[in-house]
Amino acid sequence: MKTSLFHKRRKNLMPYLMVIPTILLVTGVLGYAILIALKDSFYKYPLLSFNAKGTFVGFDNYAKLLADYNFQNAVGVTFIFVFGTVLLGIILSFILALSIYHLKNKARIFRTLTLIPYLISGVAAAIMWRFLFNGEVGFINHVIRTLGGTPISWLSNRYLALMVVTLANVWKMFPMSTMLLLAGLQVIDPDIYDAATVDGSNWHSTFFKITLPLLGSYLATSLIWLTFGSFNMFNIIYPLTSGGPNRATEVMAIYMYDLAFQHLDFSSASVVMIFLLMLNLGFSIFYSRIFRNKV
Amino acid sequence: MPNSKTHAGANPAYHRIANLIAWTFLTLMMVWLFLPLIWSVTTTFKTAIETYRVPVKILPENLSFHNYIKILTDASFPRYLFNTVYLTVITTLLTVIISIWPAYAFSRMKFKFQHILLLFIMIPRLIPRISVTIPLYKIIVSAGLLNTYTALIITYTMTSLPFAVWILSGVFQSIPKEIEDSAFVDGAQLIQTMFRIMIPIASSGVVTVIIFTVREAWNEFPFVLSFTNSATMRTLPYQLYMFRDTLGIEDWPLINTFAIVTIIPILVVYFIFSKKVTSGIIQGALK
Amino acid sequence: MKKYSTIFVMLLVLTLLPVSLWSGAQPETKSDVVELTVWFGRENFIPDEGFDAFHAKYPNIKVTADVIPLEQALTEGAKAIGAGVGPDILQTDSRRLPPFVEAGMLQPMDSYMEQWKQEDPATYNALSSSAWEHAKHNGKLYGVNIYAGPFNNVYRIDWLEQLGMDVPETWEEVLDVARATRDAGLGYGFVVRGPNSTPWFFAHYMAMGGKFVENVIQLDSPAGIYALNFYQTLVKEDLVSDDVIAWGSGDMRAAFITGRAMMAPIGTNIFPNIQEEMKYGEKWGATPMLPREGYEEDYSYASLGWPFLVTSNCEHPYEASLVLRYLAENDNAMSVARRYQPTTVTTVWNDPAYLAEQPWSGDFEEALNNMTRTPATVFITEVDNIVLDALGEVMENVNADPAEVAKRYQKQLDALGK
Repeated sequence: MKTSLFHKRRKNLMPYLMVIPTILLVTGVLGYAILIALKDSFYKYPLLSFNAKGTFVGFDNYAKLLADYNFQNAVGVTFIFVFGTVLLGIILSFILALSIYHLKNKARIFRTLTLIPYLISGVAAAIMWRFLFNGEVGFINHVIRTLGGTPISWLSNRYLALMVVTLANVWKMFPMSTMLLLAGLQVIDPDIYDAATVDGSNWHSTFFKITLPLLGSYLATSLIWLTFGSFNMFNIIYPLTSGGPNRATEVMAIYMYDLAFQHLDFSSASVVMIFLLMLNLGFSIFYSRIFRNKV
Repeated sequence: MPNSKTHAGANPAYHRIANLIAWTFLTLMMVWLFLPLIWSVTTTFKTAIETYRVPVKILPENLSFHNYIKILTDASFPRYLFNTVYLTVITTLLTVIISIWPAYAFSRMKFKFQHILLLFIMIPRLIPRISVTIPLYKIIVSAGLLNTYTALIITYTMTSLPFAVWILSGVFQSIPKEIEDSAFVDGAQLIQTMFRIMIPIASSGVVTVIIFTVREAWNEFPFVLSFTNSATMRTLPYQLYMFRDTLGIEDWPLINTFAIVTIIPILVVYFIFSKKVTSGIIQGALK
Repeated sequence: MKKYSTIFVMLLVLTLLPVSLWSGAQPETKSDVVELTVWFGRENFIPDEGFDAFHAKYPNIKVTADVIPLEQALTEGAKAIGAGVGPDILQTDSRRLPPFVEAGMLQPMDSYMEQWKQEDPATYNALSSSAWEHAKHNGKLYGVNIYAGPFNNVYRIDWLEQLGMDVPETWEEVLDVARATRDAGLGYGFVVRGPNSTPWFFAHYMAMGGKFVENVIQLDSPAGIYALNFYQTLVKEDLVSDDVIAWGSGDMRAAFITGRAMMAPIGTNIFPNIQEEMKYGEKWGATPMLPREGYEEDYSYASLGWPFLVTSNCEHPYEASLVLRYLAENDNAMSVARRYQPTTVTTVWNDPAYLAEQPWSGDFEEALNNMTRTPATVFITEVDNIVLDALGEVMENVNADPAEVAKRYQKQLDALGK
């Protein structure tokens, strides 16, 4: 009896033992880091000396930041950037996933190739994109010139620069969302389509009435993937435009980096981080609500 | 996949048009995917000043490997390569060893606070890496771990774990329960079940986790930038960043060459395992 | 089971390896050897010979050189020095000296420099005034500045001949030449970089007669408005590329070097690159920055310096001063000056080998002796950002009124630190 009770207890403890190392590493270290940042957001530190003792200033850092035009600009740019990435990313992912799915084994190699941009580091990707869209010596303008058109100032026009940055981000992010959608497409029972065809429904009603609803959770995962990746995007924008021209591509992650590592103002940077974190949390709750019924 | 069973199979004309559309899309997407890479590769054979000349020449004036030679024969290159490989290998091993257990627990066991604990592991994925560098730096300084592999390995592993747990628990879930029921389960047998049954069946998931962790560690940049400042600790991405020289003319060909050189190893690893990786992601996503 | 335990042991060993490596990497501190770390701002600032000769001369001092880019010297330095693991000597752009000093991260070196003067007068006296000016804050000396360079006005001699025009001597003439270049379809009139870095703009501002009040630029002074207006005119009248707003310094330099521009503000360090493509005195020439017509007496020739500074982490300031002396030796400074930035070691300037390689150096000798350090305050990052926002606004919106823009951003500048 004794041993079996011991066994039972051990069995009950087992899952916790299995989970704890990861929790300690991930939540322990990162959670602690977030607590430090949270504390920093209420403190002010002397110039360049964030290791020194700070003074408690309450919500001063928050108030200062909210009133700062450049912060407001960063929030606006972030939303456009994220919205653009999610919209374009999901459309392109759908097109690519449907194409690959439709062509089946003939397109097998493309399934492999699709993931390549995701494997390339953000810095390397940014270097490539910058070169592609350079106003004078970039490939895109070279093609335009060869075709007899007028070259376009991609990176010096504020709207076009934001567009290029968004495109580059989609390029880097959408391979994963394509794979996720492809996963969803593959589990839909082909018989459902046959039934639909027999019923005589055309392709768009099949798509909207059958494919989309059945893809619900995969769509949600893709959207979450694209959204969070873009909210926190730093690696690709910084080497591409550094937030320019004239702050047109300065998203919150870039703004935060500048505050922290150019101004060494870790207090304000922590405030931006808290805002970013809340936005991320807000969106994950939003998505889980929307897709609750579909999952 | 049974091709003939899809909705398109019923009508040959419809099928042909659908195929045409699919191929067109696919071609366009692939051009879009590979254009930046191809343009970058052609740049690597050029000289710095050549990349600034108008009109643009798509192909280099003469095919020269001087940039590759310059990078590969740099006295410090082996050191950067070693650091990157070392950090990548250790991080990947640790991530796999640590993540299989919670993944198993979350996918197979029922226990109190399960959802909250899962949330604790998943939420950190939402945290922008660049923003935790500041508080992490403070922690690392007070632990005396500045300029050490240990600090980098811990932080790299920490950021790779959530994704690994996510993928692996998906894959474990897709394994029919009956397969392990015969063998399982109490503490002593758990390790056996894991290595004899779960991991071999879930090999595609494990390979996926390996590839993604390798990718993460190989490309990692904000942490190594913040937590080291000694030249002996530098990794390849750090060095890529160091190449820019705002007091001179940016040597784009050299920078592109370095970028390509750092990309090649990870692509090679990916292509070796690509079949398992793509199916691993797909299995991992099925929940 | 045995197989798996073997794997586990192997993994354990591999995991512990970095820990052991790290502890193994800790230097064995011998009491008689002084270890010094120097952070160079660029690989290019390290002398050809490295520290070999130094180590031979002082076997009890071991110098380790690392490269931390100038752009990161302030942040990396502040982090490392704050944590007590900073270098002994670091190199930064002299505009970042004030924040370093105010944060208590450097140590005064006046007495050691005095000692240098007595022990080794030859190298000490060879240094120009810029050597000290760029390493000084509030009257105290924190190191020595061995390299300093100005931005100059470079131009195409052959194009000027083609247009039948003279070398411009004022900014008004620069605009005239630029317009004629545009009209003749030769190329861009006067290329500049985009609103993404300030030193060039500051150099123009100072040459145009701009003054600093408590080391802060005065955008709403006549010279400030003139400078903003000048940059706006370049965009408005198509004297630069349409892409100028996205241009970095490399784009601007390359436009001149590859023969697409009549004039450009280019530092002396880039002259060898131009020389590879065109011959000095035949196809291209250079003058120091120009004055504004009627304000010649307010002109100053801005220079940037990259001083070597001794940090508060350094426990051996005398040994550190020996490193500074070594870097200032004629041969070491020469090896850097030949391939990179001009030096403040005056004996290099007249060296025949140097003159043969850099034919322009004779033309600049007098000017190099009359450079002015670009002033800066502890708020350098904030000042730079405000100036760039103002510059960006007038360059992006060519109808904006420079005077109004200047006034608006001057308010922000005046509010700093209050």
